[in-house]
Amino acid sequence: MSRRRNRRRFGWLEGLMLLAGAAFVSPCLLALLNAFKTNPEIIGDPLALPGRWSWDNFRFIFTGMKLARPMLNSLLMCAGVIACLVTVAPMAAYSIMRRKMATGKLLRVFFLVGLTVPFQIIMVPLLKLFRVMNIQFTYLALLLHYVSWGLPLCIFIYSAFMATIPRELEEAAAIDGCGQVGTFWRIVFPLLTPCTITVIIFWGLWIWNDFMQAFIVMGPTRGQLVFVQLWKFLNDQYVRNWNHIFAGVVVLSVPVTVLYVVMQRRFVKGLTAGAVK
Amino acid sequence: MSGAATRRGRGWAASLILCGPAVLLYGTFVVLPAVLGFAYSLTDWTGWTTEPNFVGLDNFRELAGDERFASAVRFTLFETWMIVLFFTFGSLVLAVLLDRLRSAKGLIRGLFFYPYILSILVVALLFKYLCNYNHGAVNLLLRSMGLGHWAQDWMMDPRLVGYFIFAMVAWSAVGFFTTLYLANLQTIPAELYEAASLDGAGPVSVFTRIQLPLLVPTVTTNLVLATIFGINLFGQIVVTTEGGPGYRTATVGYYIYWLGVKNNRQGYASAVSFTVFAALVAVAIVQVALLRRRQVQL
Amino acid sequence: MHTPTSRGARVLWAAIIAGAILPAGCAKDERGAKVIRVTRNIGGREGFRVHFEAWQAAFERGHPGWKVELIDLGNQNGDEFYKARIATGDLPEVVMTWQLTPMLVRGGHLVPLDSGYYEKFGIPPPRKYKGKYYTTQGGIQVQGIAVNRRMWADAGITDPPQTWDELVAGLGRVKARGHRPLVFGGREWSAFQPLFYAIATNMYDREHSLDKPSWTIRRNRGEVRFATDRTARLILEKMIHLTDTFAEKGAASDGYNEEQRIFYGGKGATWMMGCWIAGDVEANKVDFEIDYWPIPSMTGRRPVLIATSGPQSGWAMTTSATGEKRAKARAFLECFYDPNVYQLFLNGEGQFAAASKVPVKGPQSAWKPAQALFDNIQRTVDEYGTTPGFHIALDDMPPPIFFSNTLKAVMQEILAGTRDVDKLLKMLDDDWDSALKGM
Repeated sequence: MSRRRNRRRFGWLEGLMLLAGAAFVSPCLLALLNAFKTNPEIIGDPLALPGRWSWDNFRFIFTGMKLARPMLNSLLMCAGVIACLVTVAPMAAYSIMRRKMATGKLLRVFFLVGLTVPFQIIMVPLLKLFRVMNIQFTYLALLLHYVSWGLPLCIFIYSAFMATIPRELEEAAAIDGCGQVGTFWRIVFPLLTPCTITVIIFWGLWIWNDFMQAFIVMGPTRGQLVFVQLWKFLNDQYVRNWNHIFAGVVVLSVPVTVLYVVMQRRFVKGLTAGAVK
Repeated sequence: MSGAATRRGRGWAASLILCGPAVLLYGTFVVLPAVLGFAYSLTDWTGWTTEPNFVGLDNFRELAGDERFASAVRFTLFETWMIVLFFTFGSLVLAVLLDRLRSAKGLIRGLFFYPYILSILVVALLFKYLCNYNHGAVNLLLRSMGLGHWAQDWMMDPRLVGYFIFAMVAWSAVGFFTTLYLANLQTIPAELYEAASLDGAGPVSVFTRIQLPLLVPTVTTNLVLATIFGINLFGQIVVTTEGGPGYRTATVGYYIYWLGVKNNRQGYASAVSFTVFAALVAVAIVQVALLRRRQVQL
Repeated sequence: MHTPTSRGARVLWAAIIAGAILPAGCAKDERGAKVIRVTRNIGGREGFRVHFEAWQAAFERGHPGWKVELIDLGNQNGDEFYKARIATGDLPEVVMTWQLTPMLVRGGHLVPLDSGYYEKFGIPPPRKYKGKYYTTQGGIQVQGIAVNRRMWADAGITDPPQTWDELVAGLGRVKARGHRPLVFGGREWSAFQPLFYAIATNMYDREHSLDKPSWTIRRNRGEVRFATDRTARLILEKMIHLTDTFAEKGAASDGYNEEQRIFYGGKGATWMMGCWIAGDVEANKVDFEIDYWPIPSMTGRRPVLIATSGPQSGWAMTTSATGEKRAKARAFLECFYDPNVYQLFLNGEGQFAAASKVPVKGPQSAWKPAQALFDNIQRTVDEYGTTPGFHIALDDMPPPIFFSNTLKAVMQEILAGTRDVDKLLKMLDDDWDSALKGM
């Protein structure tokens, strides 16, 4: 009985995992280190400590690369897409899971096959479709694309998670006179919190980091999204300003790191709340 | 009687509200363009002109004898196999270990998750840096430890390049799969663990008797996701080896990109893509049929 | 029984949904009535940016009320961007074409330029494509062999080798003196350089003549193939020998940046690279002397430099420029040859002037080693001349994929240990045939 009381003990497992974790992320420390150096220094010896720790590169990010506005745009896009996904996807997953075998399976397959289609195939027809709808090259078009593109995977994750939720609660609600939609929002959705948080973290990351699809659907015009901007500097085949690139990488990792840290706490809280049934 | 009818009626309306938006969005912006995109496989479209020529099944005939496609399939399967194994079982072990931690949980979990935060461009840059033969950190480290004879061209040596890609993918995505397992692990009620500790069960037996059976849903999920992830490998190839050396690391996804974007054969690329898609659907249907038969037998 | 979502959570959701509507509310880019949109792959290169700003300023000065909008493509993935814009009927008014000119013309997207455009600035007219001209012409760009003068002098060689075998022997002597003889990286596009040089100087005529079809035309007609061409076989054997003897272990994972680092750092003796490196000399603070040598032949011809400018690959007007915009787009293209603008272009790209009526000097640099290299290149051009190699004309060029992908893949295979020359020749043939279907 007392064995599980040692809650805060830092034992050998913790030590081992900490070392393993640190080794695991060590390449990232390389990026962090190089963000403080000048370009010739980086080219000369990537592993050395900087001669002088300077913030110049970071300053360039905001003045030279002008990443401030794109960062805001990216944040808004993430928020928008996530908001849509976590409303539309769980509803669909719920409806699929609670159906009769045949139609449920059919819908699951319908959504799943979307995961196998590469973006290049839909690229041109999609752009023409946006043209027909007169929303080409707008944020709305990109948002619709991101949401639709993310639905299959999202629904898949939600369905899998939903399989672990017992039906008794829903049946009780049905007896109470709750409609299916109401049942979903009031009872099932809160129980899906760990899954929702997972989705927020993953899709936040994915959209934040995406450049290829954003570049194609929206084009390299003003007010662009963050990684599209950085990508222009990153992929240059003749000259690379490594110092700016690494500084950009570090700066751009900050928001997602913050998101992850914040979500982690809620993650644990949400899970432990769910475990107490 | 009327009560049941209204309940059924409400059932339809509810279905529409719940499922409708998803089906509408997905159908309009994914399925429709995909069908249209696949239609190009019957043409010789280059991607630049607006009216392609209809060529019937020529593209598919060419595909049947296409050696580079066969080679791409082989390489994709090779990578997918490793990826599936690692993300289904490797992540599982890692998740179980992370779950057993009793302090510094958030920090340590964060360390393993962190690479997932980085964009593939960054991951590729880092790995190219690390694995360069002359200036890369791995070889520099080996040489400084007197193990210079172990130094290899980790990235472009044809024997190692497949593993290089795998290592990069594994490093960057382990956070994703581990998190899914962790989410599932956290739903295991504490009473089960307490009961096990009362019985005097050791960690291994806790794993095999309690955790593993309850993790089966996520194992299945991760298996499917890892398979799809492996089959779709493409961006990672573009930013590192570009299919090289030669064309050895061209995956199916990369070959489609190469055909369409670089070789201006968008019609043929659509045909390749459709074939892969059809193959995957066929596999899925077979799986579903097998499962159903097994369920009926039960 | 059920846990209602707390008020805090409800507020959070509302905020997020508002955030979802906000981006959608941002109006799409209005295509201004008096705006000329221009693409350029600036991607952080100061020289390019400075040039473009000058070009923009020159136009806006002469055409008040009109603006130029830069679409920075970052790197040369113009392919996907242009295709996307073609799909939506929204190609910018002026586009940089690179090797995409034939595709754009065949798709009906470019507006031809009259020959008066070139005459006005004294530019030798480029070879026509389907009877017409389309793009600005930059400067003259040549490709040859850059050498570290000191290292070669140390091996007793001060003049360019006159045959390929002499070059190989010279590399051997440099290596024997303890220097790294050849700077060569197999990871990226630069892997194709040696093979490209060999094919261009050995399988093609030095000067194109209209009554003798080029190897490309004959290949397209099926009259010749790599598999049965003796020169092609010889070239591959020499490439295998070159890399076996002189490519360092680990060369396969070096890319262009690593090559730069090695050569500009004074750690390698020979680098087969184009004349634009002269533009990098100052930026990298190179302080040793670099000679620029012509490429020796394997088939008994005189050494020569390859001129890769000429086929139309500059900026062109697109069919998006309608009405008054067309005249303005044309005017913008003329501003390219404003002396100040043109000078900046040559400096940024490291090219030599091709417009005889424009008062510019060759590329200029205040950094002595850079200027010395510019002069050296000019002297080599004067003495040995240039050949277009296979860059003969837009409708007389190997498929684009051949140049950018296949040659690189073949060199990578050689680095990976493939010695089967037949297999390599087959790669060249197969890719050419496949690419022809995309033309």
